Amino acid sequence: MIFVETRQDGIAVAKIKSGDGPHNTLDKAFNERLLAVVKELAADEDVKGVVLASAKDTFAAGGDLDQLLSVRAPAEAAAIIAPFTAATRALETMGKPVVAALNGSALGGGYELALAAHRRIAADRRDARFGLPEAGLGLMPGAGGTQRLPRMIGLQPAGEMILAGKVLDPKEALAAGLVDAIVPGEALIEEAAAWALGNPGAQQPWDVKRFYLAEADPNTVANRAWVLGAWARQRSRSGRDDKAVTHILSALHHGLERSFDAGMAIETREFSKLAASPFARAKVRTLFYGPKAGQPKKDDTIAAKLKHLGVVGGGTMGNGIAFSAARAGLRVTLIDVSAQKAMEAQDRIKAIGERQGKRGRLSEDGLQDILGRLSTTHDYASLSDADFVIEAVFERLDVKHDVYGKLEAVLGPDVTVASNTSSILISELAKGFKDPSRMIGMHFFAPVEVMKLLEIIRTPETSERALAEAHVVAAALRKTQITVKDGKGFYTSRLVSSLTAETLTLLSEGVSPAVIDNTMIDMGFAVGSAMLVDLTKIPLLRDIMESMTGPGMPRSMEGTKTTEVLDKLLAAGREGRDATRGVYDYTPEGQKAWPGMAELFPPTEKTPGPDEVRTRLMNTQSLEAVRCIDEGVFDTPLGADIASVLGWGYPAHLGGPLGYIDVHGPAAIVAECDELAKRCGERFDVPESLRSKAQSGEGYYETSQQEKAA
Amino acid sequence: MNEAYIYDAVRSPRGKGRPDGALHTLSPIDMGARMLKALDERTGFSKADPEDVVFGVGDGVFDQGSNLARSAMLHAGFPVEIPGETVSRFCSSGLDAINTAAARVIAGQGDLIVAGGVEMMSLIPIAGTGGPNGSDAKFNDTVAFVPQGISADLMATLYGHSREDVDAYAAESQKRAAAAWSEGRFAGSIVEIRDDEGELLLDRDEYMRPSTTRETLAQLRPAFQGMGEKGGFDAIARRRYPEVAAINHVHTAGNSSGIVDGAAAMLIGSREGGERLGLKPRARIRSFASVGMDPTLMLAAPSDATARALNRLGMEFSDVDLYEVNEAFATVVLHFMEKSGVDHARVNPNGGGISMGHPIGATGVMLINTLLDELERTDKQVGVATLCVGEGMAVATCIERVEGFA
Repeated sequence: MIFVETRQDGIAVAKIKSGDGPHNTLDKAFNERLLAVVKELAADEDVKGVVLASAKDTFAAGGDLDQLLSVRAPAEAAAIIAPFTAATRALETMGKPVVAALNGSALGGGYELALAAHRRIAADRRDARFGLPEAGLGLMPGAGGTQRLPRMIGLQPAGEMILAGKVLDPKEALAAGLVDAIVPGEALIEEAAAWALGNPGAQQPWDVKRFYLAEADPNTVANRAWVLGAWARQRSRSGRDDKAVTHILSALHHGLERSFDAGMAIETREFSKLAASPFARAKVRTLFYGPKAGQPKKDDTIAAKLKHLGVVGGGTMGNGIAFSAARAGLRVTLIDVSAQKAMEAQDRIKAIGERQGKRGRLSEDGLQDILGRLSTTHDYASLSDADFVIEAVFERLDVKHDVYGKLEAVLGPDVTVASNTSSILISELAKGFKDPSRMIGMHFFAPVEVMKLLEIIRTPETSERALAEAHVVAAALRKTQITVKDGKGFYTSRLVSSLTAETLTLLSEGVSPAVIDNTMIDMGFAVGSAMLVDLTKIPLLRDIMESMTGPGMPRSMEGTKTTEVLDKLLAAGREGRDATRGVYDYTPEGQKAWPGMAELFPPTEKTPGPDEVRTRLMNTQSLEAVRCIDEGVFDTPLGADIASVLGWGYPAHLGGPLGYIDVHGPAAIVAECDELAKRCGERFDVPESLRSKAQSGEGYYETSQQEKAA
Repeated sequence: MNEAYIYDAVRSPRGKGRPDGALHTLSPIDMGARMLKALDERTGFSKADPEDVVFGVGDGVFDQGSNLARSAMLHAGFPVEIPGETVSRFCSSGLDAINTAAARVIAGQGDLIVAGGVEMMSLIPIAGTGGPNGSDAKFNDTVAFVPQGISADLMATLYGHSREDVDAYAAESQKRAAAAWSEGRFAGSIVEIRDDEGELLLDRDEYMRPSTTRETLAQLRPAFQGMGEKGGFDAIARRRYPEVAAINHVHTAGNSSGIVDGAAAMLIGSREGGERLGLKPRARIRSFASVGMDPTLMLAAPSDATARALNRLGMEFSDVDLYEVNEAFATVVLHFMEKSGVDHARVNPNGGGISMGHPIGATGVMLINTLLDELERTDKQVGVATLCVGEGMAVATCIERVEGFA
């Protein structure tokens, strides 16, 4: 809806209201309505100027992502935005001054609407944000953002902002030229109307004859160098098929060296191609919808009761948990084995806060508040009034059981105890309590204060209350939760172990670490799985691999070579990154190939090349995720996919291990795995559920294009 | 088919490609005109109804743009009836000018053609004006674009050329160039450059550093490490060549070709053309070839281009007496020698781009000129000049000395 009211002075105030949510979202119906309204305003002789405003609390949040996700062909994307780009062009060229009155945030398509005004005036509101964040979701501005903004503020500042998906607060937006003025909220409409009345001949700079802005000329030496530099910086670390950067740079470069209208045509082409790609859809789905998938409802009754959190164990994980909980406003008591250790933990937690402070994420006062809520001690009696306890001690069953005995002695009978274990079965841990229903798993990721993911593990005995409380604590810590069934490796460790086992097996077959890592980085992983071996530390990885084998071992580890590979490395004195000697050498000049690898694991004629390396590493993750679904380890595929992205850096544009099956096509995955099963054995056997997807063409999220075409 | 003969050739000394370089204040048409006049003084071609003037220019923009061959002819005051064209293939542009001229003579479509080349890198920086190669994001994705210095370091990494290897090669290049100049081996071809008032600007290659040793070279910082590691190009190259764990940044300003200003020209014609001028041919152009390869590795094809050119003649590498392999980067020449099995004694006997500089569009003409001078001086017969080329190419040309017409 667009409500238009023409005032006595001839200023038409057009207030937009679109979508059901708190923010205006711009869908096809709105875009068509906008075009009609602009035509009416242009034709109405009584209208001397236009103020674009919002009937909601913010100006506009951008395009409707639900609608965009349904797009399968570039022409469909183009059809959604065509009325919008036509309307904005008509708006700025109808010969009447147009002012955008930004009562709150204007983002994405919302900011692009504001860009089509001759002036942008923002209400003085600290929570307002302005800019073009599309790239963060693997998309790009498609409604003039890549053409108007650089013609206003120059290619490099606009390009940096668009590529980073950066949004600005009002002060920054004013300094950068994204808004022209900031006024008190109550004066917003009047100020906007006044400007329109005072500037009857307003014109966009790019519509002034002989418009030239050197900063927006992509063919200056400096701007050419910037395009190349930006391309290399961004594309060196984005996955091969994660092409938002390429489409953005193309729209900037080719659009800015042409007329505005030609530039718009180019932007539409680039946007439509990108929006219709399965990789952009996967990234939007996983990054935008993923964090909401499978998240429990907020339970305020329980939240009100949980005030005092106990943390046992002052190591890296315990300190991070204690810091995060205290920052979330909980009173925290951390227990370590001695007074000395407890004091050291206090210092380390303070150091975490100082690191956050250096990055501008925490004020000095904020840190003092956090420390004020935190005490560390070796006295379990301090936990007598604790409402919830998280145990984060050494990963050994007997050590943990010893702690549980001490907890049981001081805690109230109803207090839930969560173990931050990454590898021990929760059902085994629960045997340390008389009442196993109070036991739950909360698997945090390091560094806790940074990593968004939290894996919550329930056993058949875990009480509903314990689960609900764990959800509340996780929500207080602002974590994205995945709730899974107890079982070897839960979900995340099970998948990472699959990946690691396949990696070690490839190494044993003579594949170099470089081929593994470069292949994975090419797929979009930030760190390759060979490098990860070194980062994990080889002795520790050996323990993990050992703990993952035996009864209940993931199918994906059948026939892999894990501990024997690690033993060979250890025997050769290779312990990992910290020891400067792992599968790579780490020298003062940087990471280098270690020639000894080829002697330990000599390449042969059968050594797999990059293609097989890729199919094995990618498919072992996907197959294991399918088996997790089959076994009911988790409820929602999307929750598992976002967990993979947050947990071990799975590339978001591939969706996740399950999304990858969709973007690659179930039939193609099955064909690859059938081939791999012949060579590598049963770990690549295709589960029936996946085989039937290959036959029907139904993926986990959408029908695969190949099957649809066939 | 006609034979394409080389009648004569001239080249300028190379000036440093910097604002304080001796040639910097001249315009590219001045350089082109000076070469054409010098060649005309020696051959009289302008009065013998030449078919065309073909110039190689690497980066044909601004003062080096439009049609530098035609412009330089007119600028020099030659008859308006003599046309001109430019050809461009980055570093081999000059050699392509020769090959184009030769092809037309061989095909009977012209009996006297001037081939030349000009590049003033002090004025138009290398790749400074761009093109899709580097500034088009989609194209960059397609080819896994890296700047040539990264390609050179990638090549050294893949073929195992250490910093010591490339520095040793560079030191030898300086030594050979210094010896060549001190013995006056270039005297027959160098045209001194004067300004309009007749003031001498330059009469010998300005870029050389004869005192260079392996030790002084070892002091230099890697030139491409920053753009490789911080700029992201190493990662792009590694993704194309996943077997590479880390790129060894061995190339420096001292073992890469020098950035210089320079120009050269050569008269090519059929027997009839030469007879019309009463000239004796110095050599004939036997064959030429161009090849492409992966643009990321870019620089490793000179041996393939040479093999293709020799194959047309039923010849092998060992049948050639002397090679001029453009010293774009030391690793390029090392790789050529390893792949072809040709001994260093027969390659670049008088130094090259590392010691004297590589004026992109002019280099190919200078290489053939230098090769011919050396074949004559040492009384040998067959030579090949070859260059690696941006975007993953290489060009080679085979010449043979003649004693009169065949």
